[in-house]
Formats: sequence, structure tokens, C-alpha cells
Amino acid sequence: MTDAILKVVGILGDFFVRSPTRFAPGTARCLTAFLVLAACFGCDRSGDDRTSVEAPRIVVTDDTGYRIELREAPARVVSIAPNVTEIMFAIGADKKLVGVTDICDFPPEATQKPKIGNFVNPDLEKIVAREPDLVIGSGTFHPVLGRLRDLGVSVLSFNPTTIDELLVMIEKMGVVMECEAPARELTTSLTTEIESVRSDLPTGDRVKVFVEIWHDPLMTAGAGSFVNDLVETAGGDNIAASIRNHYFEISQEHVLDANPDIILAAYMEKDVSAREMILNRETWRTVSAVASGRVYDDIDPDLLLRPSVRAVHTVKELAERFYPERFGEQSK
Amino acid sequence: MLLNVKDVDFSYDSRPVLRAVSFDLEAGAMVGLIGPNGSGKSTLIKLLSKVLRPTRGKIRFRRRDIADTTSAELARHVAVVSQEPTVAFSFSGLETVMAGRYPHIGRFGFETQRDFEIAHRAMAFTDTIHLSDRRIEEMSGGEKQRVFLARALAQEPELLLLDEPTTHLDINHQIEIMDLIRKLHKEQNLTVLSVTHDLNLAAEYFHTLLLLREGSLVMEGAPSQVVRDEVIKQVYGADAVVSKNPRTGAPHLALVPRVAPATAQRKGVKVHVICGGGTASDLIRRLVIEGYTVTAGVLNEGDSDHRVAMSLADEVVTAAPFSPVGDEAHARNLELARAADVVVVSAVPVGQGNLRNIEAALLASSSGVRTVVPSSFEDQDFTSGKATALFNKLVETGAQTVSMIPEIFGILDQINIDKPQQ
Amino acid sequence: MKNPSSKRAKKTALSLLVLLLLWALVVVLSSTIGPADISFGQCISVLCSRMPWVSAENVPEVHETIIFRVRLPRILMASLVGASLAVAGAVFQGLLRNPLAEPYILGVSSGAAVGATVAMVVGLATVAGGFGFVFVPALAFLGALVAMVAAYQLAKIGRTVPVHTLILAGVVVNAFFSAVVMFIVSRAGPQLHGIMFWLMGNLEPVAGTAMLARFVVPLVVVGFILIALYCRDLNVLAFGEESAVQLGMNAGAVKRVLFVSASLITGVVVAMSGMIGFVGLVVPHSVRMIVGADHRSLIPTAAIAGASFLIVADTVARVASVPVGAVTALIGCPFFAYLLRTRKRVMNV
Repeated sequence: MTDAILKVVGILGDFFVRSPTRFAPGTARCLTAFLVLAACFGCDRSGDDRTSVEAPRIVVTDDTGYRIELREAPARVVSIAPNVTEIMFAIGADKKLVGVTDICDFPPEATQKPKIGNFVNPDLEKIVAREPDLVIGSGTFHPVLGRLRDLGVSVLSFNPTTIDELLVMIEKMGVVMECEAPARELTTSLTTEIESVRSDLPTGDRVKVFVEIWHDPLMTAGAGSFVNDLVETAGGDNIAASIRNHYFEISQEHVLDANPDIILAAYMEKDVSAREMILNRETWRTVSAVASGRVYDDIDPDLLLRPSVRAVHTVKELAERFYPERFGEQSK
Repeated sequence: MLLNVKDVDFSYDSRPVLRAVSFDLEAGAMVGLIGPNGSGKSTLIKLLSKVLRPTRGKIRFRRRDIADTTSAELARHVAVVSQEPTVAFSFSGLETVMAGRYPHIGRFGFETQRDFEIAHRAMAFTDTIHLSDRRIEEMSGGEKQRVFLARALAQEPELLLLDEPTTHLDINHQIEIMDLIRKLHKEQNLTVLSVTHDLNLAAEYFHTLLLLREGSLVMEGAPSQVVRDEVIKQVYGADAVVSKNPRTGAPHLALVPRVAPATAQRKGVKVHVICGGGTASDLIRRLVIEGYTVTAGVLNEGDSDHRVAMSLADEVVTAAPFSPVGDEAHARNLELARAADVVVVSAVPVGQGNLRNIEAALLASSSGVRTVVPSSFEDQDFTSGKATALFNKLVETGAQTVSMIPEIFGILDQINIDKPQQ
Repeated sequence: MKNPSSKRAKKTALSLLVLLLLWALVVVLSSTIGPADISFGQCISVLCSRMPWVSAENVPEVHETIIFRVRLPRILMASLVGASLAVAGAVFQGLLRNPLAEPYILGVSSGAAVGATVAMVVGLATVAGGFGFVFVPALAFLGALVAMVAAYQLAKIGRTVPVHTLILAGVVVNAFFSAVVMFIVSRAGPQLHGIMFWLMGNLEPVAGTAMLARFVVPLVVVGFILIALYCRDLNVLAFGEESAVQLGMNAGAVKRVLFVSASLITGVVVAMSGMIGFVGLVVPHSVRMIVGADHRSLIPTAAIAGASFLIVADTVARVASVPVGAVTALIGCPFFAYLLRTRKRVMNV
């Protein structure tokens, strides 16, 4: 096969070499080879999967404004984010899930599903090998998504930064998977749960909360992060919200200045004993949270940082820690 | 007229380098461009090859202003060989010479058999064919320069410009290159303009010399007119003695070092040298540099020792060319010998004409003057034994024999220690 | 006497053909490697199925998709990037007469980095329905052009651009734009990850194969053609600019063309694939030590060598999940060290 190509190349090359006006013969041959092979293999088949005669039944727009229209519910779905996997199970669409990331660990059945790489670096080939009709991502605009679209795969990319946005996401996933009823049920119950916590919150001063994502460098989550919304919904004031958006490095001074009442440690690295470390900080002895011992590292960071159903349940636990007098009796 | 340079000025930013330089170059001329460092010689070559543009004035090649021609057009007629061209990559001799065909091959063209033949001929002429596959960095200075000369020839030029083509070469290679250039000039009818630092080479090889000084052309003429004591003194500020090259008759420059004040501390030791035939030129020179007071005699005019002694020594007893030593001369010679602290007789060939010089030495030695004679004086004797007899007597009277100059200085050092400084 | 250059040309053409075969082999072999579970035999049959004179067997469509639309575009990208970087490196080394010269020396890559980073931070990457990945390479290319012009203008003295000032200007432009990137990175929030990912270099044609075919390939081809036309000039420039002028070259124009074409192809590939180092420095030197300094054989050989090298490096990178820039250094360095010890001098400077 390759010989045939090269024969063609040779003929073209000779043409270039023998003619009176010519380039360096070697380069001419290379160019020809490139072009020939590129033409063979690089044909772009950008077919339009979405042209249909009848009106599409399923129309969903994701958080980037991208709209997909499907004639029927997808049969094979790949999730490239752990929270998407959790939601797929929660709305009962897990049978159609044919690929998950390495860190999709909830529910436990999720770990049985074939893997397509990790959240940070999903493998394009592995995804394509699963032959998905739909790929759903959350919180990442990984270039892989662009390539998938290039290949004609439908892609939805969500990025919920608040609980309300999360609920919308669950509903949309319900629509696209044709599990609207279970999805609606889920969002309703979650809404009720949130409302009950909200209504029980004390009026008056809100507790000041510092969320410590990592200790070295000292990192926190500002406005626009999901954990920020959790804290706010549970009645706390995130001291980092007014400083910057998303995850960022914060200086100790800010923390000492703001003097939080509560410190929530949400280290992704679960081996470190955060509470001990924070309480032992010499310079932080004056901080109210340290002085009063209200430093909590016992909530699974996945529940705080991953925008999913379990995170909504966590609101209650946060409220219990923020206002033990109000919620304390109901705690375990 | 091949090249016409008219009123050319050139300045680097605000620093003027050339001022109102004008000259003509006829076809078939062989011209040397000389002058002190910084006089603008290399700059002129760059102006002639379009590397630089004159701030004022015109340069015409075959009546066309080179400012109106492209570099490529000019390179088909004018080739340059630089001082020490650098090559960033490891090219072979042949690849280097083929680069000379660049102005003749269009962008879309290729080197043809004809191009190769021209390059080959150039290499044959410069005897560099055996360097075709040698890497340029493995060549000696002379070989490299010949290859670059071949490259210039491959351009098939009418005018060959050279910028100090021999400066970094050994003497044998210097002569090699210059002979080659002369051959080119004769056999290929090339017009040559070459910058050179070496005044002797310039005087030897070129028909006309252009002398630059501080950016101005101060003289234009044949070597005999330009390479003269006064001219060199004026332009270079150096003392030089211009004589004739004994083989070729071309003007030949000999440098006259200024005796540095430190060593000119007159040691107060007087040395009288009896010599001739060039046998003591070196000795006299070194004695003078060391600070000794030197006198010499009797020397004939035209003798090479005479010339040197005349320049350097305090007094020289002179005789007419080819004449035997006269009475007056002999008397004076004897006086000087007796007055000296040391008399040195060099390995001068002794004939009837200068036998009296040895007699003077003997007389001085007998009266107590320390004398030094060569150890193998039989070889110098052309008087059928008379000189040898005198030499033997000299040894008997206490003359010391030496075979090498350093021994003389050893003896002088002894005298130094004995004699108080004045 | 026979012209040795024609014999030389034949020898060069023959070795280029052999190299092309090698490259084709590397392409085929590389397309059989990947995380998807496709055996070697299956892969070959997939490749053969595309050839019109071979009967199309029953090839599962997913295999076809993976091989032709996932792996091969990436391999083609690696070829383009590798060839461009190697050629640009060779051109800059010849133009600047400096063995340390490589495609990023004049700031083109950091200009591209600024463009890409700005596009990502401003959110352009997520525009147009979320997949405006086209904007990242487009702005990166713009940034590359800005850097190129800046370096050129900075280096101008009067009407000429001396080589030593060009190098210094490149250093300045590089430093400045790198600092800008550092600043943007420090302020970046969630885009930080995407930015680091881009900076480390990635051969996945994220902007789509359409962009690859319509934009990248033509620009690169134009650049290659221009460079091919000026190969002999690069040879002559090796004797120094003065000598080049005296040999009849319009040095100013030649330098401009070479500078622009080499910067163009560098800018295009950096815009598409981020900064992949080492290829542009070491491949030209290695090739020069093997085939000699005549640019008419050096440049095409370097192109194919660069393409093959980067395909191999990318395959290793894919398998080992390591950034491709790290792999190029890890396999390239020992090989280059070996060449340095066994071969003659790299360049006479």
C-alpha cells in the first residue's frame, strides 16, 4: 500500500525535479508526499448528525449555550465528571452509562463501569472506543470536548456553581435521558430539604466561615464556587467571597483580619489531619474559630466540592455546625 | 577605465572614515592599497563591493554608478577575498568554491556542469583541487586563503579586490598567495586592487600603490616613489631604512627600532666592532639595544654592515666602495680600537683589502685592550695564511675566542661588573 | 570531469526517499498504538480498507473512527509540528549563525502563549456554544505575529537588521511576553488548568481537523516552499553577511524572507499545539552532523526527521501519560549526547 503511494510520489517528484524551474528536489518530494497522504487520511467528514426530517423530540441547551437536538434518548452515555455519574445513578439512567472517570466512586456500582481516563485528562480514544451517543461533562472545558464534537458526538457541558444551577442541571439531564419523572422527583425533594434548612436559620448575625481547601499554599474558595453556595445556603458568610472568585491562594492576613467563627477544612488529600494542624497554628491562636475549637475536618471534601446530590444533603450538616443551638438537637 | 572613484566620503554614524577619496583604476592594473591602521583601507573595499554605501561621492564600475546596480549584478564582475573569512558551517572546499557561482545562478536554477567546470578551473589555478572534499575547518591558513581565492575566481570577475589576504599567514604562504595573485593578474588579465599591511610585499608585487592616511588618499604612484624613508616617516611616524631587495630590486623596508630609554642607560662600555659583509649586523644591533657605545670600522660603503652601523653606531670609519683600507681610515680605526673597552672581530671574510683591520685589532690587543675573535678563523682567511697568522698572534696576546654571540655578551657582562657605571 | 553535485543530488534524493519510507512506517506503526483495544492486525486491515484498490472488509465503524479520526489526525499534527519546528530551527541556526538558535529564540512562542492565555482567560475558549476552541489558536497565532514584528522592529538599526541585535531583541521579547503570561496565570481561576495544559504542549488537534486542513496545512506549505527556494542563500549566508553581499546576495531581502517564513511556520504550530521544546534545537543539529551543512539536503531531511521524531515522542507520551515536551527531551537528549561525542563539531562559530 505504502509502496503504491510512494510510486505516485516518485512520479510526481520526478516531474518536479526534471522541469527547468524547480525547487530543491528533496523538498518537492516531501511536500508531495505530505499532501498526498494528508489528502488520503485527513478528509474531513463533518457530517451533520442533527439534520432530521421530523422535529427533534429532545432539545437541551447546556451551560455554555450549546444546544443539542436528538430524535431519541441516547442509548450509550459517557460521563467525564464524577458528579455527572452520581446524578445519572440518582435519576435512574445508570443502565445507559457506558463510561466513567477513574475517580467516579459514588455510588459504589459506578466503579464497575468501564473507565475512560481521569477528570483532569479524559482520554479521547477511550471515550470514542465506548461508542457513545452522548458525552456529559461538568466543570471542565477540556479540549477533548471540542474534538468529540468534531467527530460528531453530542456533548453537554455543565458548570453548576450554585445549588439552583445544580437543580437545573439535574432536570436537563432528566430531559435528555428521558427520565424526567425521577429527575423531577429528585429536584423537588432536594428543594424541600433546602427550604426546611433555610426556614430554620436564625435571623440576625450570620457566622463567618473560612473554607480551607489546602494548607500549603493556603487556598480557599471564593464567590462562584459551589462550596461557597453551600456555605451561604447553610447560613454562613464565606469570608473569601468578597475577595476573589473561584479557588485561589489567600494570605493569612486576610483570615486573621476577617476572624472567622468557623473553619471548614476540605482537603482533597484525605490523609492529613487538618483539624490538628490548624488548631496548632501559633499565629492563628487569636482567630475565633481556633480559640473556640470550631474547626471541622470531618466532612468528606467530595461532599463539599463536588456539585451533586450528596452535596445538597451536606447543607444540613453545615447548618448543624454553624448553628448548633438551632440544629444541634436534630443532629445524630 | 574599469573603476572610477570620485570624491567619496564615508562616515560611520558621525565618525568620518574616508574623505574625498578619488582615484581611477585602469583595466589590467595591479594596485596595492596601503596605509596605517584606521586609515580606511578595509572600508574602501567594502564601499567598492557594495557592502557599504558612500555618504557622498560616486563609485563607477565600467561607467555605471554601482549604487544603481544590484549586488548580484556587481558580483558578476567584482569578487572580494577577505582577510580571514569565517564559515559558520562545516563546508568542504568544493562547496565553498561553488558558492562563488551564486551571482550567476538564478533563484530557481541549479548548478550545471558548466558551473562546476568553472569552479574546477578556479581550483586548478589555485592548486586546491586536492582540497575539494576537505572540511574548511581542517585546512591551514594558506589552504583556506587559496580556497577563498578560488571562490572569488569562480565568480569570473574582471576586478579582484583583496582585503589583507596575507595578514594571518606564514611567510611561505604569504609569498604563495601573492605569487598566485600576480599570476592571475598576468594570465587571466584580472585587474587587482589589494589592501596590504606588509609594505615589503606591497613594494614587491604592485605596479602602483595608493597610500591612505586618516581617510585621505595622500599619495599615488609606483612603489619606488611611495616606499621612501621620508614618506614612511611622515605617514607612519616610524623610522625606517629603505634599501633595495638584493634579488628583485624592489624597495625594501628595514625597521629601525627606537632604542628604549630604559636600556639606553649607557653602560659606559665602549665596544669597537671590526666587521664587514653582514657578519656583525645582528651583533651591532643587539649591542646598541643593550646600551653599549658602539663604534665600527673600517667598512666599505655599500657593505651591509656599513649600512647598519651607520644607522646605529656612534661612529663608523668608512672607506670607499670596493677600495682597500686607506691610511687615514686605518689610523682612525686604530684610535677607536685603542680607546674602546672591548674590540670584537666578527667572522668577516678577510682579504687583501681589509687585512689592515686585523692588524689594527692586533695592535689594540697588544696594548692591553680586551679583544674577542671568532674561534674558527681559518674559514675567513682569503689572504693565503696572512690573516690566520695575525689571528694566532691575537690569541697569543690574550684575545678570547668565541663561537657564538651570547658568549660575547658574557664577556661584556664581566667588564660591566669590573667597570664602575658612568 | 563529472559534476559531483549531480551525484550528490541523486544521493540526497535517494536518502530522502528512504526517510520518507521510514516516516510512513512510523505513521503506520504509531496508528496501531493507543489505549483503545484494537489489535495490530485489526489496525492494518482498517488502514487497508481505505485504499480504493483493496476490497473493503467488514471493519467495525468504531475502529475506523478511532484510527482515522482520532489517531491519524494527531499523527498528522505531530508530523506537521515536528517538521515545522525542525525546519524553522535549521533556518534560524543558519540565519543567526548561532548554534543555540531554535524556533522560540525570537519570542514567537511566548507571543503565542500570550494570545492563547488571553483567549482562555477572557473566556473565548468557551464561546460559540462552548466549543470556540478555534479562538485559542487564532489568538495565539496573532500573538505570535505581534512578537515577530516586535522583535524585528526592535532589532532594526537604520535599514538593516544585524544578526546580533536580532538575537538580543528576541531575548527581550521572549522575556517580556513570558512575564505577561506569568502574570495572567497568577490571576487565572478555573482556566488555570486549561492554560497549563496548553503551555505544556499537546498534539491533539483541538481546534478541529477542518482547521487543520484549511488553515494550518496551507500556511505551513507556503512557509516550506519559501524556505526551499532560499536554501542556497542559507548556504551562502554561512560565510557571513559581508561575504554574502560580496557574492551578490540581497542580504536584507533574503533575511527578511527567511525570518518571516520560519516565524510563520513556528507561529502556526505553536498556536495549534503549545510549546513543545527540544525538537527545533536538536533535530537540525543531529541531521547536520549526519548529512552535512548544505541546506538543500539539510532542510528536507530535518523536516522528515522532525516529523518522525515527534510522532514517536507523542506515541510514547500518549502511552505513558506524560507531556510530549518532556518525552522529546528525555529521548532526544541521550541521542544528541551520543552524536556530540562521536561526530565532528556541531558548528564552527
